[in-house]
Amino acid sequence: MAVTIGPVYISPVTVWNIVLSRLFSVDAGQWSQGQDNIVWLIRLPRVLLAGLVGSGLAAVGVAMQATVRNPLADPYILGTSSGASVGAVLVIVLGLNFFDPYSLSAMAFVGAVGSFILVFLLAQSSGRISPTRLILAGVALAYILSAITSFILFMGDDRDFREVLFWMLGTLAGAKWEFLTLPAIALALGVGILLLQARSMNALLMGDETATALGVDPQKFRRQLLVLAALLTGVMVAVSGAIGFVGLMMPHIVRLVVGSDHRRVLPASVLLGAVFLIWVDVGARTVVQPEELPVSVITALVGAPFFLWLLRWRKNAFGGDRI
Amino acid sequence: MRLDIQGLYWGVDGLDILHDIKMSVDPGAMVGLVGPNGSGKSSLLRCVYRALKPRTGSIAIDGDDLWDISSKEAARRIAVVLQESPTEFDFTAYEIVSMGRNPHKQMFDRENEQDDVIIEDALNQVGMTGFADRSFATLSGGEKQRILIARSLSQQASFLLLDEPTNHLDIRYQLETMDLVKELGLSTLTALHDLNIATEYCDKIYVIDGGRIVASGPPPEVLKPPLIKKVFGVGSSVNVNSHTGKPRLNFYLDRNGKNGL
Repeated sequence: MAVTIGPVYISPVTVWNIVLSRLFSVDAGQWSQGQDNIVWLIRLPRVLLAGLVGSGLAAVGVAMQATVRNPLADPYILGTSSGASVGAVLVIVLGLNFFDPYSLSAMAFVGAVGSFILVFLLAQSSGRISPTRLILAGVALAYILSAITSFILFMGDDRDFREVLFWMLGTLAGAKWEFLTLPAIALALGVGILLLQARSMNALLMGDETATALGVDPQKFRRQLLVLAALLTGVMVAVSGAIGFVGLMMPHIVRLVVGSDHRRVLPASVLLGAVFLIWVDVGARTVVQPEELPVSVITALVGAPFFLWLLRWRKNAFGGDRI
Repeated sequence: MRLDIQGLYWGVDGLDILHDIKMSVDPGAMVGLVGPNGSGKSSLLRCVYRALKPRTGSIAIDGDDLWDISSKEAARRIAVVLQESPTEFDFTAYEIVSMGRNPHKQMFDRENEQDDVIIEDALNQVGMTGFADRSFATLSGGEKQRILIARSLSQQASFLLLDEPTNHLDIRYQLETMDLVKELGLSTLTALHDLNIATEYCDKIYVIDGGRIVASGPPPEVLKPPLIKKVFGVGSSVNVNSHTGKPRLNFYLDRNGKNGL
């Protein structure tokens, strides 16, 4: 498993022994304190975090694509990643440090949820939210927020530049046990609620009118999905930075294999998202070791070609044989 | 199931588009709604399936006001076949039909064998059993229409609402679709463009023009040349469909402004 791989070689047997002994507090000890620390305090939380974040982003991707009924939607379409970036850049460059050591996460979360609220308000028109307005408002706001990020960055120090860039491309390097609880709770709640709504998401994909005719109130349901998506994205971005691609592509890869029914798409995306991001992170920390690569570099470089291959292979999907 | 609409007004931005609509559909009857483009046909139908909320007036389904019951309860009573809106997300025919079970499901319910039986029955009733696993997007217009009708059947509502079900279909599919709907024997309200199809299949029709119901009754009594001239702006003559014995309308444009009666 992914825990066995890292810049420092520790034999898989030792790794498993460490994990087992920690879990069941048996002392089978034939390893150094250093090895124990690496496995238990660094690698394992990191792998778990990767799994949580991957699942969360994939689940939100599914929800967003259903909400705006657009295959290009991803968790960041509400401007959440750009908002989080502004928050992060404020902390890193301007040194706004009021809740140390959680300032970065807290500000990223505030930025993400704040930008969502703005998009939500901007997209409303006479009390209704149309998918197209939502997308356009999100895109426009994302540009504004990116400009703000760039401006602050440009005025700031060169050393901060690298740190901010690294954060914006996503990293799981900060994983600690105490950072896992909140994302785990958020993920369990979020995915649980989404699973219960899978049938309604199917109806929503058929269009607002049809959804109404099938007993789903599209406006109310869309609001619920958006709030849920924004909170879950906010949490994931806060702990890992803006990891791209996972939320956009996992749902599509899953759909190409299991079809569009959310009762299958959702659980499959959650699983695939976790597995995918865990292995991407293994790549991130080993490919150019001892340096680390930003996660988004690998998610896109590995994931996109695979998706293109799948797209060629499943010729019927995405309107392939329609005129 | 019985539908009663009384004194319904609906509009946008303070401007009424539907005026004082009064309409009823008796149990088991097939009722047509005809009118020119922009006359308010679709708006009226949308009021009946709760996509639009009337400004005033009442829509009663079996005596209960439509807005007093939950959206799921409304969907258990009224099934709707809309003109298909294209989607980038591809469902199989079976999945589309299974969506009709949604109003019968609580959040924690799972699909059970009974649902499967209902879905299979619905597919069977529209003659699409062999198409269950086909991608909906790859079906022809007539086949899609059948699947959408099957979805409304799996909804097990006793009131069926159709928005121009024969649009974009070739003549055979038009007749097959209407035959199918007629055979279901549900209380049906359908918007129709084709006045001859309305005459052939409907027990009663309502003519809507400028957001007002201007005539109603059995089609042969309502669809007469003076009314057609007034509402649709075309001349017409009536003869008999030699096969069904029903009146048949023939239309022409009267370019001189003189009516051709």
